[in-house]
Amino acid sequence: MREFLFVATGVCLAYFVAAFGAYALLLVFAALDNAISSRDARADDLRALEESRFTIPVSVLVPVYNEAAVIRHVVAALRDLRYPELELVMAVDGSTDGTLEILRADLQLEPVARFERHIVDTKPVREVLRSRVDPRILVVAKENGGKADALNCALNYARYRYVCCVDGDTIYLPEALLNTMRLVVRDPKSIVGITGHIAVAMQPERLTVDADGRAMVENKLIANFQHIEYLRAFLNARLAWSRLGFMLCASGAFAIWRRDLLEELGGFSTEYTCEDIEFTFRAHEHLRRTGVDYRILSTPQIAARTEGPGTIRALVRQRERWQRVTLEVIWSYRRMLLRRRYGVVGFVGMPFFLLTEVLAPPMELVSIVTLVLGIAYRVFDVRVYAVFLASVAMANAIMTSAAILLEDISTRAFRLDHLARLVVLGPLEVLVYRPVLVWARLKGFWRFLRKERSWETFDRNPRLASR
Amino acid sequence: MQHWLRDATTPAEQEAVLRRLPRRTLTGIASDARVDRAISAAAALILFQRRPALLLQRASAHRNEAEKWRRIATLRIVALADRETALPILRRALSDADEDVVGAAVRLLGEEQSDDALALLVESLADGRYPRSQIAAYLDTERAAPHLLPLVDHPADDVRFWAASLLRPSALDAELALAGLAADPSPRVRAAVLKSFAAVGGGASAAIGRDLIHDPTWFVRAQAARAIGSGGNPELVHRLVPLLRDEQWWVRTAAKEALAELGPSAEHVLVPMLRDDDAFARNGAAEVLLETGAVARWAAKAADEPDDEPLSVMIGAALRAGGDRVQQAALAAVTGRTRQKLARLIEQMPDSTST
Repeated sequence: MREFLFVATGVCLAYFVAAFGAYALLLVFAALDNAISSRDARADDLRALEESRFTIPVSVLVPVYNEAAVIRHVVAALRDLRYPELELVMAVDGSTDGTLEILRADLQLEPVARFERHIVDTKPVREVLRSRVDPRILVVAKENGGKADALNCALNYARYRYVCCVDGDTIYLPEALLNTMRLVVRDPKSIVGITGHIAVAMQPERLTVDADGRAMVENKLIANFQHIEYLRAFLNARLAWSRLGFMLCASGAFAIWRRDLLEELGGFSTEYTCEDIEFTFRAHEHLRRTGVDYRILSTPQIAARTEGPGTIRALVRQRERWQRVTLEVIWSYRRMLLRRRYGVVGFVGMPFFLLTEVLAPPMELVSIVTLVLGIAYRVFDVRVYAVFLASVAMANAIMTSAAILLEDISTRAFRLDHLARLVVLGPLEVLVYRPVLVWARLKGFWRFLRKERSWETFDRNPRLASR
Repeated sequence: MQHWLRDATTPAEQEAVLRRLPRRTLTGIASDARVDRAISAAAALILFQRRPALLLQRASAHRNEAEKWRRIATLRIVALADRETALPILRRALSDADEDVVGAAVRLLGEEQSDDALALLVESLADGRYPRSQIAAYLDTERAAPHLLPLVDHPADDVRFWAASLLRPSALDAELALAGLAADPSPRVRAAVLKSFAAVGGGASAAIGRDLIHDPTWFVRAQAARAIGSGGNPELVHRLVPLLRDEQWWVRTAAKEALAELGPSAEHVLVPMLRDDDAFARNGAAEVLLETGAVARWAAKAADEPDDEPLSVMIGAALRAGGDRVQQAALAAVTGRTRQKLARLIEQMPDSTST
C-alpha cells in the first residue's frame, strides 16, 4: 500500500506541476495580449466606427426561453448597444412563463409577413412579429427546441454578414459591439469569430457603482469566487488562446461569427448539451482541415454581465453541465489531437484541454483518495501536507492576482479596495470554492460517461429592487 | 481621472489640475482616444511644451514593439498639441510598414479633417495599405469630394468602388462622375454607384436604377431595385415586378422593399402576380400588397359591400398567395367587421398554404 501511495502521490504531483506550468505559460501570453490590446483600444477611435455608414452591420441573435424575470432589462440593454447598423432577431423558444406577452406589450409587436431564408432546419415557427416602437427588432415565436435550435431559427431571419449570438438573460454593455467589431472591420477576410470578456453578477441588471462610476464587487462569497474564476477564464486563459491561435471556446453569452461560416457548417448543432464550445471546435476543425487562413479572437474588454448561480446547488448543476459538454466536444473532436493538419489547435490547444479538462476530474479524485489513505496509513506527515496545500493555495492566488491585475490594466473598471478584497480571497479559493467545483466536475464526468444530454433549468436568483 | 477633474469646471482650472499630475498620468490622458478631446488636448499641450524635441523624435520612428506603442501614443500627443508640426510626421507614419502605426495616423488625420489631412487620407485610400473601409469612415463628407473625384479614373477596381461609395450625386461634377461609373466593368463599382444615387433619391436615382435593372450580377440588380424604390417614380413599378421571380433571395427582397416604398402605385401590377406560376413571385406580391395596406383596404371595402364577388376573389388570391404569415399579419392589421370578413375568407379557403 505504501508503495502504491508513493506512486499515486508522484503521479498527482506531476499532474499538478504540469497543469500549473501550462497555466503559468499561458499567463505570459495573456499578459502580452492584454498589454497590446489595451494600448490598441486606447488608441482606437470608437466614435468614427459608431458614426460610419461603412461599419459592417451586425445581426444580433437572441434566443429566449422563459426569461420573464429579466427580459425587459435584456432588451433595454440590447437596444442601447452603440452601433451604427444592427438588427435584433429574437427567437422565443416556446416560452411558457409569459416572456412573449411581455415582449408583445413592451415592444408593441405586430405580425409581419417576413419570409426566412431557409438555411437550417428548425422547429416550426408560430409567429413572426415586428416591433412598432423599434423597427430593428424582429421577434420569431417558435416551438421549443433548445438554445441551438432557437439560434438557428434566428439565423434564418438574419440579414447581415456578421451575427452576434447572445443570451436572453445577459445584460450587455453599450460598447460591447464596438469593442469587438473594431477588430473585425480591420480584417474581415480572416476574422471569422470574436468574443468578449463576460463578467458575472448575482443580479446583472443592477448596476453596482460608486459615486465616481467605479464598479464594486458584490458582497457575497459565492459571487466573489465566481468573479475570480471568470477573470481567470477570460483574461488568463482566453486571451492567451486567442494570441496563440487556438481560441477554442467562444462564449455563448457573446460571440460574433461571420454568417457565411455558420451557413457553411450548417448552423449550431442540437446534438450537444451546449452549442457554443461545439461550434468553436467545429469551426477550427473545418478551417484547419480546409487550409483557410482565419482567426478567432477574444478581447479583454467587458462585453456583458451574466447571472451567476446564487447557491452551491445551482453552481454545481451549472458546472456539472459545463464539464459534461466540454468532454462531449473533446471526445467528438479527438481526431484533432496531435495531428499536423490541425497545427497549433492539434498540438497545443487539444493537449491543453486534455490536461486541464479531461484529466482534471480523475486526477483530483485520485489526489483526494491518496490523501485520505496516506493520512490513514500514516504515510504522509500532516505538516508536510499542510505546506503542500499552502503552496497550491499560493500558486492559485498568484494566478488570481495576475487575472485581477490584467483586468485592472484593461478596464480600470473596479474600485481598488474591491479588487483588493478579491486578491485576499485568492488563497482561500482552494479550500472554500475549489472542492465544490471538484465535486461538480466529477459529477459532470460521470454523467458524460453515462451519455446524459439533459439541460436542467437555471433557477433565477431572488431579485432585489433595482436602483 | 474623473475625480481629479470633478471640481475643475473651467479650462483654466482643468489645466491647473493637469499641470500638477505626474508625467506618466498626463501621457495616459493625452494619448487615450476615449478621453474627452479638450482635456486630452490640454494634457498634450503641457507635455509638448515641456519636451518637444523628445516627443517629435518618439513620434517619428520606432525599432521594436514597445517603441511602436509609445510612438502611437506620442503621435496623438503631437497631433493634438501642434497640428502643423504633426502633419509631415503623420504623412511619414502613413507609409510605415506597421499597420498599427498606419492606423493611428489614419485616425488622427481623420479627426483633424483639414484639407491637407483629407488629401493625405485620399492618397492612403488609393494606395490600399490600410483597410479602406476604415479610411472611408473619415472621408464621408462633402469636403472630401474634390479630392475623391480623380479616383473615378483609377485603374484599381477597389479604388473606384470607394470613390463611387463616397461621392454623393448632390453636386453636378460628382453626379457626372458617378453616372460615368454606371458602365464600369466591375459589378461592385456599379452597385456602389446605385447605392450612392439611392441614398439621395429622386429622378436620377430612378433613371440609373432603370438602366441597370437587368444587370447580369445579382447584387447590382438588388441595388438597382433599391435605387428605383428610392427614386419614387411610379411609372417604373412594372420594371420591378419581374424581379419578384429572380433566382436570388436578396434581389426578390430588394424588389419587394422597393415596391412597398412606391406604395399604392404598384398595386395594379401586383394583382396579376398573385396568380403567377412562380411561388416566390406570388408570395412577394402578396407581401407587398399587405405592406402597402392594400389587403386591409380591400377587406374593409368587402365588409361594406358583401356582394362584390370579384373583390372577395382578389382578397382570397392575396391571402392564398401569401400563406399563413400573410393571413396572420392581415388579420392583425384590421378590426371589427373587417376582421370578421377576413377571417371568413380565410376559413373558406380550401388550402391556406400557397407555396
